[in-house]
Amino acid sequence: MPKFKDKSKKTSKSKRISDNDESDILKSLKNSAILGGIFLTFSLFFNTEIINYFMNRGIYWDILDVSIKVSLILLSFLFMMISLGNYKELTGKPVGLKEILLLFGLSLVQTMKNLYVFIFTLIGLGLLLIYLYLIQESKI
Amino acid sequence: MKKHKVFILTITYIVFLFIITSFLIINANAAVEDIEPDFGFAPEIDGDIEGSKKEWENATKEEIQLISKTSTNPDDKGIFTDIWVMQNQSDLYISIQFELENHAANEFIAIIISEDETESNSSFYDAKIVQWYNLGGPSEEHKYRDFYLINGVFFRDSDDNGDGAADLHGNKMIYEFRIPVNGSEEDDRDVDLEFGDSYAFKIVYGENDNYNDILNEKTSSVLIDIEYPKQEEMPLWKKVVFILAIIAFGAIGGLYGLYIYKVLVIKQKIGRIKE
Repeated sequence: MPKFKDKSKKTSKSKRISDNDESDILKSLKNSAILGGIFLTFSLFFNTEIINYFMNRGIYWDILDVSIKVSLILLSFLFMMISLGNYKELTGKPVGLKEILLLFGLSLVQTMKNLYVFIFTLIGLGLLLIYLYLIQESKI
Repeated sequence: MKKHKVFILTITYIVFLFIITSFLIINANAAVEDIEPDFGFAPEIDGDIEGSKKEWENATKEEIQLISKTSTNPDDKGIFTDIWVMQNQSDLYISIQFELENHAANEFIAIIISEDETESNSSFYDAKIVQWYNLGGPSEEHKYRDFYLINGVFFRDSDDNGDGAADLHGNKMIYEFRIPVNGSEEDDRDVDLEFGDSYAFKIVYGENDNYNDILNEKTSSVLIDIEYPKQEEMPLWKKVVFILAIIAFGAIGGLYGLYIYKVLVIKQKIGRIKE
């Protein structure tokens, strides 16, 4: 029996996620992926203008239309980001810049048919990223 | 001698015809303009035609004269009025604008709609009115009201369908009306303005709120064609954007599908990592 405990083994043990945490993370991963998918589906319907009920009916309807489109994109981004974060946590890696940029880009692509949606989504995504960065920092 | 008599009789007959027809034209109140409105975005009905917002930029703009039928003053040329008309799929928009040195305290503009393009009294049976109360006074206000007419007598409609507003800008009064078309909002006492048909609209100016005995009434009529929504061919850039959108949204859907697949097999992956 060795006299001294293996240091590296101890470190890996402390970082290992418990089975309970793992199932919680998996649950959160699936739920957020489903929610992200739902918002993404609605976003595709609105942003491809398949659903155009609120369009060109007056200024207030236009504001409502843009608000719905921007909200759906931001919500799908947020939930997909949470889901991706959980996924990465389970696989033991941090969310990389590549993945963030990919999600960012895919969210912006959805705004291609409306300039106002693009501008407000860009602002919203920026704020969301700052928020996610800050809460990550505060957890550390 | 006989030739002279025939000549004098002919001249008298022509002059008589001329006078009679002039008299008929004045009293017929026939439509002076046939307006084919263009399609545009719905303006805000607030009595303000803000140029910066270009709310009425697509409107068809004409000038008419609101003329008194009873005035005996030959110098009374009526009120020179701008009429702007625009429509979209659900509503017809009309703006009436004119300048007066002194506006009456209880001034109003009524838009009386005929059931078709005929302009007999009985054919006009729907009226949309914006009425001022105490204009220029401390408690000035205006109200939009919907009336129906039976044999020229005004009755209040139970539902105020449509919308109207007015505002005074210096000496210029601006009225704005929204009138539903194609059954978007109406009852049995409203004229059903259908796409593809023409309707006579009588514009009435008055200075009191008793519409069955209007003070200083001045009117004019226009014909407005309710146009079908135009089926415009999609321009090339829109087609390109449409194709790009299909590709982009297809790619997003595909990536999401791939991600869901990865989520479904993650347990196996975790197992491998643990080993």
